[in-house]
Amino acid sequence: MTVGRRGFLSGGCAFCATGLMACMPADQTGRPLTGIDGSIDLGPRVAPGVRTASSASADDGLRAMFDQMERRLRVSRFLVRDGRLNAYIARVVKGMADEYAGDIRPYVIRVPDFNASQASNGMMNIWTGLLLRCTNEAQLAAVLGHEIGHYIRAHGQERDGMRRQAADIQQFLAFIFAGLGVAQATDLTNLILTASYFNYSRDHEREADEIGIRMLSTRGLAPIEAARNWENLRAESEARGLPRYRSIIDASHPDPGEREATLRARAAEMPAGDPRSAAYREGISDIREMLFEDQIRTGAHGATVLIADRWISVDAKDGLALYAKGEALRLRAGGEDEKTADATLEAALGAAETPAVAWRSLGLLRRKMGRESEARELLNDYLRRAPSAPDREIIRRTLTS
Amino acid sequence: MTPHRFRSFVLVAAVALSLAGCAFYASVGPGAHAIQGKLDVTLDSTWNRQVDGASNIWPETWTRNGPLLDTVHLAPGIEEGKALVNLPENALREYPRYRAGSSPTDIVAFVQGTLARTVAASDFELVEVAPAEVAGHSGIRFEFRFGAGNQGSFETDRHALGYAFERDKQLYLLLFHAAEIHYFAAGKPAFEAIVASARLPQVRAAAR
Repeated sequence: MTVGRRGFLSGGCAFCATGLMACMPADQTGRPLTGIDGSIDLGPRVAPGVRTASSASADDGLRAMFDQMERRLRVSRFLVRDGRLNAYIARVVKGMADEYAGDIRPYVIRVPDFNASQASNGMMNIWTGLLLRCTNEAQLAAVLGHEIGHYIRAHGQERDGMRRQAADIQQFLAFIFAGLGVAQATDLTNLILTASYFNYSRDHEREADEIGIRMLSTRGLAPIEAARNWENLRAESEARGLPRYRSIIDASHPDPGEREATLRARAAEMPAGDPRSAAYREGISDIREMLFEDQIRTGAHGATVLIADRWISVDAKDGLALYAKGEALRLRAGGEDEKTADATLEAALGAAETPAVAWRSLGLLRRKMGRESEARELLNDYLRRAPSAPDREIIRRTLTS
Repeated sequence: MTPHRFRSFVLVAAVALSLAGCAFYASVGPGAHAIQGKLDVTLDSTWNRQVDGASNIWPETWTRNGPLLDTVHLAPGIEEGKALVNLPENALREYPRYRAGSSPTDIVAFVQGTLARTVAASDFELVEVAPAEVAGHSGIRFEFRFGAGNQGSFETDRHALGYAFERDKQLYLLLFHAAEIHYFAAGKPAFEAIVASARLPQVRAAAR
């Protein structure tokens, strides 16, 4: 699928307009006016089942590339193969994709960051960091619905066509400008073409957000959770100290603040729906411990505390989340961290699903605090609960020193 | 620009671009080698020591068959609050920092957290943490498996072996990690020999 000249130029104009205003205009309620709202027709551009059949030649190249990536993914050590988890994810995808369920193939990949992606051959990648950051099914479904939106609107193919066209125009103009002796003008046209491309990309994301929230609403899931994803992500970016600057020229996605405001406004127009928290926790229960351990290991302790707090707000007796928060605070060890870590780990020991390493964590902390006899008791508890732990020898040495 | 000069320019530019992502190495050993004046080791064979390139961020990096296959990192004297690698402060935002008096478990987590950033390591499986004598000091020996390169790059099952001790609130780390298939077992004896040869410099040791 290719992008028409008119569409391409309108993309360029849209960029210029956005650039001149340097911000997104909003209506009286604060909703950003993006041109994509509840009234827009977002019908499918791909019929169910056709992606498994042959297609146009330019599209075939893209599909072959994704097919190769999918073959590699199937044998990757990072593919999460837990049966119960995959059955649950497949159920959620099927519920969202309806007649496209046979075309979408979800893969859970062990990467502790927030992301999911959809390739035009049907391969859907879901990173484990996304699963940890969602605390209910509606939040996950909002992301999966967004990705399915990219698929049914053929955004991947459209962007690929746009990329090819931009490259052709760049080459042609570079030749003309060089002949006229004004080769420097090529830089300006490249900038405009790049900006036009990314403006299209941002509109694709807005379309996919709208499709995702419509899917949530029609399936009885809570639409407000789509906005909460972005609220949570913004809070995490702040906790991690990530830069807030976003280029209006080469940002592939809209500003998270804009997405949150848009989705929040759309959710207010829809029935409240069900977040399905219990079903979600049950669905990912086999890998929750792994998700928290991987997050702790990233060293982004501020983010770990935020994520754990979200789980604790759902269930104050969530032993895994209490341990993760306490461990992250113990490792960060700044200001009041150790005091809070002590109380949090203490609470974890009396909660459900608490891993044995929580006893070790509190034992090491109490030892550092000089509370030696309590530390010894906790470390002995750890060895009793995890007799074959790989660090048992060094812990025993700690106890005898 | 004449056609000849233009061709030369294109050739030089192509070579420069192709080298931009490369690391540069110089041979080291056999014989005695001082690591930043903080640790002395004796090598019984020749290694390739990284001397430049974007990935040259560890205090000392050596390899015999290329970093994707086997790597030794030597990091002597990591101070309180410092990361294991040398990068601008804004790039170090989420790198773990050393805390003096860290427990053996936390030292291993410190190393794993750094590898998570440098080689996209994840899926850590701790094999062992045990007491060990390193450079005449009471320290630890640790071993873990992990996967590296999980975001579309070359994936490898890797195995790491490390030795560490603390002295004057500074961490001394000797780390070997290699592809699980063949290279870990093949390189382990040479690394163990390096660890066995490790000594603190005479002047520093005498001053204590």
